[in-house]
Amino acid sequence: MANLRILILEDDELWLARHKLRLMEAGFDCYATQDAKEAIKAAKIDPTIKFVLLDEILYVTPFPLKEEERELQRWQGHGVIREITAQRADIQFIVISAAPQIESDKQEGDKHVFRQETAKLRRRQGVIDIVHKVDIEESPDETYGWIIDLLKRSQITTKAEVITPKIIIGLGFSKETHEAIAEQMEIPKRQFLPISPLLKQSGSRILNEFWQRAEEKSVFLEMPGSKRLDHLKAIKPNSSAFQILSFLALQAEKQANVLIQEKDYQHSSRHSKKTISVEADVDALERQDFAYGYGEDGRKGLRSGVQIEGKVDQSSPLKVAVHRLSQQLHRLNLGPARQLFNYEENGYRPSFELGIVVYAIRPTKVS
Amino acid sequence: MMNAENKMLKVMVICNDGRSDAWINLLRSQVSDLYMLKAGRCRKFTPDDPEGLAIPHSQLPKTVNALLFHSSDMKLWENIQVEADYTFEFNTPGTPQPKPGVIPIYRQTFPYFAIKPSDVDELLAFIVTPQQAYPTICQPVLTPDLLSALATLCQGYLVMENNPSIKVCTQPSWWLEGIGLLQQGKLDQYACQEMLMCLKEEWTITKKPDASHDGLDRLLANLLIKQSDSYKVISRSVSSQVVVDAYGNLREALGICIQSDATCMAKFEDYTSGKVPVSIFAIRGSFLATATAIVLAMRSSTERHLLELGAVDALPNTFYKSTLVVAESQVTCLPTLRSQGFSGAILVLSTETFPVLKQKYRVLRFGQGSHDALTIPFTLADLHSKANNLVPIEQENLRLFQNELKAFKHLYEREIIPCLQRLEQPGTDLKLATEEVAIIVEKMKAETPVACHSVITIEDETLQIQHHLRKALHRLERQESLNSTVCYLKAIFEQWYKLVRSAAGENLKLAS
Repeated sequence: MANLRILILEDDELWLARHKLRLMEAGFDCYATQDAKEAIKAAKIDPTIKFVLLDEILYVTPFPLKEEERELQRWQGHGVIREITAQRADIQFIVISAAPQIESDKQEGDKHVFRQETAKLRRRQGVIDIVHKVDIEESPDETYGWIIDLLKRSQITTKAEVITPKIIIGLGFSKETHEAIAEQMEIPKRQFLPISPLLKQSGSRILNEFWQRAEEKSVFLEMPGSKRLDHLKAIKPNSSAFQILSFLALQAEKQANVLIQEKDYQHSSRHSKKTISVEADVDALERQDFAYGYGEDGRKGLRSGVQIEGKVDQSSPLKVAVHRLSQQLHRLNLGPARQLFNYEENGYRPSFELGIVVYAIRPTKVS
Repeated sequence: MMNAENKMLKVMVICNDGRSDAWINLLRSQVSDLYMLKAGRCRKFTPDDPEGLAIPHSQLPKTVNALLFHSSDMKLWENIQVEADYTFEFNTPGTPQPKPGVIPIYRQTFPYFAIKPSDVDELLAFIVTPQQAYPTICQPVLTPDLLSALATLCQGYLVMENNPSIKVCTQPSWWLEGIGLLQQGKLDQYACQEMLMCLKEEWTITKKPDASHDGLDRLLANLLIKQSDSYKVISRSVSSQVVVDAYGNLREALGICIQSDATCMAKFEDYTSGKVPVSIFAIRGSFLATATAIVLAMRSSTERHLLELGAVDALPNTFYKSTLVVAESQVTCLPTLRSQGFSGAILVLSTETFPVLKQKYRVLRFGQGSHDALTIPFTLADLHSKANNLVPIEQENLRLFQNELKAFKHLYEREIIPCLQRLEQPGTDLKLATEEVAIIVEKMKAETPVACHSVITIEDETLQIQHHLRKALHRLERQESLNSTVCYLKAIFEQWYKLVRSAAGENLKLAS
């Protein structure tokens, strides 16, 4: 693989050697280091580095035997990503986390602090996945296979096609209903079921029925190359953001024009401060000369007896809502806010993909 | 030339590094038999044989008149079993801890070897004719903080006087502010009295002759005057000669070995170069920390502030990114400052080196380059190089530290202890308890990831805390030997708690 290098940053030399060996066996050229500073420097000056495989917590090396002598490096995984992406937005990261992930159903629900932390990390710019060291230990071939596949896939996709992030509206049903839907669709039972096979079977009418019957609605985010869906709790089902996204998702699933116009958006007015704008029927300079003068102290001010009349500036409610949504999605690492929606045909077209899935509500959430 | 009395003296030096050669150079012509133990090899020197002769361990004498050993190489001495009439101990900063039967040498030996031929003459005279008072190099400094503060201000003055644009250091108010006696133009009468008392005690107890501190007395007389029971600031400028004399006294007292004022101190241009932080802070209560802060702040238009602990809310915004200079006794305040968002660099002034300090204080281990220590006594060149290399703590490291401080107590008291108690109760639903432990473990990893990466030894196995926890969970899930598993879990949780609590310290006040 010419002109492609993988930067490996790992403070533990055994893990470093392990990663390096596996990637080199797969035909990748690697630059391995234990030092975050060196890694940042290498990524900034070496244009052939396109991917970084890095650890989350980094200690100063070589590790002293005593815990009391160990010290954290200046940059941790987060910091390295921040420093590199500040100059190289094209670099992609796979974070190797040392914290073991406990696989069991028992940790679902709001107590899932650790998974939330991991999800935050995955939403950082450039991060394409998180891999757990425990997974490597338990099934090295499979996990390294996944990493290598990810690297190769990302390498192809960055050249050949653009993979965009996907916003998915989830319709939550009880476990029994979810199982019944899976059976109806004749697909294996999974946590998230795509709704498109059902639409092919029963037409778009069923979609409206599902929409009405759903016990819970949520927004999920799927990033390119990622294995998991992140629940975006910040977007509430009664918000204007949800209204826009759900309309667009429905359009996408119905294979209609994925575009939202003013008429499609139901605006609930707010008691917001109205802005006054001066009518532009007279020349601005003329108006200024008439209205403003200089006082004895040499300061410019409104002449006595002059009053400026104005009119209320009515901005489009959809425009405001789309703007707010863009900012919100930008914070979730979907891309630059101004590029998330394109204004065309008197409406807004998203630059990301949309879809609808059906999911089973966790028992803890069913009251 | 060797004195007649030293003709029969046998002296031995034990040190594995270059300092043994420095001692040999000073002692070689002064004693009849001189032995050196370095890197496991013995050498014998005589006045006639300055090159020395390698000898086997068996040829070492059973007793010597004086033995000088480096603190780090004490084990070498224990292995050879040589008795000595007088045993002297030296270390890098000149701060050996008093031990029975060992006389400490309170002089810096590295990077400056602050022992002069006259000191050796005095030491040998003491061995030949024992006197009540120890040689000068063995007399401790009672107020190293104050003397080092004055020495730092003197160095600052001597560097800055070459620059005509900076005249502030010639004003007595600069000096008095530098040792924390003058605050917002107001002279602290009590602090003045206390400082002068400290100096008086220093000269009396260490039996220093008047000549050894007359320069310093003259400097103080140029700063303060006592009029009708109260001290007043003198309005006259401080002259260069007064400072040079005072600095000479301080160098002598502290054992700072500087070849000459002009050559060793950084030039003004060098001194003011480098990255300068927005502001320098010091915590009130240490003469040296305030003096160091004022001297550092002089380098450019850097602001310098004295921090009152407890009034953190009223601090300027610049504080959060500034450099903080603290004495070792003030390190316990750092967890509180970090928890309140202080992300600046920290420079600790101590008699110990940074590797030793970071072992004692976990807060100093959160981010290489943001914490360092300067061993006192120090020169301005040392201060300059340390301050230039310090950088503010990266936000990830600060957040990791803050999260630990916020979470650990609640997690331990409200979740871990009740969970362990339930596990110990007979007839507990083990499946449910295991799930509870799993959730706690996950929270620990999320909120205290650095602590979970720490290495601890339990049941003779040294692993990271998170790996110990994983092992314990597997044991619980397999329901094997429940009692020992609970003990194992308890030991892990306790070590984790001890570790994080040690970082928080006793005086932690979390930001609201």
